[in-house]
Amino acid sequence: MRESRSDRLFKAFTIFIVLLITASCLFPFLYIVSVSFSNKTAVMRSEVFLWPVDIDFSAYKSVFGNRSLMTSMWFTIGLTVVHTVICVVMTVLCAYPLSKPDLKMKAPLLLFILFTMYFSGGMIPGYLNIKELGLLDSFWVLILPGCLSTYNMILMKSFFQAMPREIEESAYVDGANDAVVLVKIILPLSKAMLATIALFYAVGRWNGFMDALLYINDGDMYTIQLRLRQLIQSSQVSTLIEDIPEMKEDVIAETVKAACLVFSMIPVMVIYPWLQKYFVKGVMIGSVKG
Amino acid sequence: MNNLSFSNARKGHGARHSSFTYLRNHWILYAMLLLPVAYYILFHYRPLPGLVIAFKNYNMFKGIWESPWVGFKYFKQILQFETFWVAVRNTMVLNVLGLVLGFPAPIILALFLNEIRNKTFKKVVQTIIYLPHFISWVIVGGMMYQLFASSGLINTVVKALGGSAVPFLSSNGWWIFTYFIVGIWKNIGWNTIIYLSAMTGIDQEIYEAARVDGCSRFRMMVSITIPCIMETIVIMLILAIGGLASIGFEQPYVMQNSVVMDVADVISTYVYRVGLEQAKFSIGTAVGLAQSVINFILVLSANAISKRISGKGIW
Repeated sequence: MRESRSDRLFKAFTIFIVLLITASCLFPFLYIVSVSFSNKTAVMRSEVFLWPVDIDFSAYKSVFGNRSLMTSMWFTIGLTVVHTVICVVMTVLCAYPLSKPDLKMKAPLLLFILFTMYFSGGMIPGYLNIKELGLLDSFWVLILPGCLSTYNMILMKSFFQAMPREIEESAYVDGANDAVVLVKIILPLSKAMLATIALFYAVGRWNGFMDALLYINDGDMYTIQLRLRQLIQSSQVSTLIEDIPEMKEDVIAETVKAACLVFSMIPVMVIYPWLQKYFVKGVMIGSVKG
Repeated sequence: MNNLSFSNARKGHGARHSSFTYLRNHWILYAMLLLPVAYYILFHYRPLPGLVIAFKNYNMFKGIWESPWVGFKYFKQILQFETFWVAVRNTMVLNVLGLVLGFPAPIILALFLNEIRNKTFKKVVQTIIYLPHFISWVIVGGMMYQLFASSGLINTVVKALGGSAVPFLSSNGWWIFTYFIVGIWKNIGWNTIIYLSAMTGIDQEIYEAARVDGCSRFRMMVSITIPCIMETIVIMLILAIGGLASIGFEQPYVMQNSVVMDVADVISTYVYRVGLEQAKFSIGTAVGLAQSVINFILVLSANAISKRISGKGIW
């Protein structure tokens, strides 16, 4: 069918807007990657825009040579792996029984759990609780307090509920118990959903920094985000008082800062293709179930 | 029907017995729930009694229970702190402006994305616009400094064009502007998902019929697409209104600096600064409690309104 002139105009306009927004979403990434690979003086003379100028790997050399940054990186990778495994196990343990339509005491159990979504003690009682439990400055404080997300649990529960009941019925007839049914029948059919949930937890752990900020003082247990925050903040102070010439000596080179940002994005970028696919799926399930 | 009444009758007859059989056959289900329940008790319910320190003069050495009661002293005190009211005002300003400016943005983008017929192009666009959602606030804060600082890229361009540097991060008004730009940048793409999925549910025959009648593309967007996703829009709006009293910690925290605290200090960062950094635990708890209660009321009323309008609540 022939398009009218106004339709063509409208189409061009929508494409223009979409391209504009897409470009502005992408641009900051391109810019910091370019800065991180550029020569320091080129950056200071503001010559870098979209492409690296005078390609120079020295920023990355100082990032990979920085012991505390590397320690934080490895620590956070280990932390994320342990956290994700524990979280997925906890989520399944909680969601599977609650997905059973005939579970006795289901309503009070759900109320007990859902209440926590809408009312919490807040920052200070939470902090005092962690302190009383003796978890401050420990590895576990970055894992246990967030090892089950009610939102993810409900996603998982809806997923289990949507499975046809006949699948497990024959196993029950054969005398299998709930644990066997879960491990042998349900979980193998839930791989995509488990992957979605695992990614939710992994990204949350990788990107989160508030808990580390509140509960961790020991530099050896700084997560990568906290380390990065410290680094940015120390240079932020100096940009605010940049009129004082002697302070300029201490300023961390922009290229190094950019390299740190890029460095800490690497793990997320590596798994981004999977991330995107599964996350979108998870959000859709969440929105359907409300 | 027959089946149903039969099972009901059986249930009524030996409810006790069947409960017992159920437990014996399915005790594993309850065993599975032990760890999750322990988690909720330990990390969600155990902090709740700590709320009483809002009404006590908390002394770290005496602990929560031995500290003396002071009644509403701290609540009265807070009301007289100017900094508290500044934080409340800033939270409201940032949230209300965020709702007015940030809420329609993903809807408009989703409407435009929906007009794109080329699947590959659409997919590439979606991959790119979802990306900022996966980047931590710390990194976003770092990128923001590279772009918006007085010596950052944007000001370099402004100066090259003959303008004078814009104080994006150090003047109150411009800081609020930057806050929204950064917030929209991070979330606009991601928030389109829910509207796009609502749009895929629209019956294509409606568009077909409109096309036969000679309806323009723009007209179809206004008269078909928007009404069809209205319910989703209303629900999202109600959810957003329910969240007006609470504000995330991470975005304001990574974006604020000492120069703009007058507009950048919000309730969450205020509680952190006063309650933890200055170790005024009781005051921090009191502020948090007041906010929790207001929040709870807002969410409940938002849900009630949603039930009224669309016939169904959020939960």
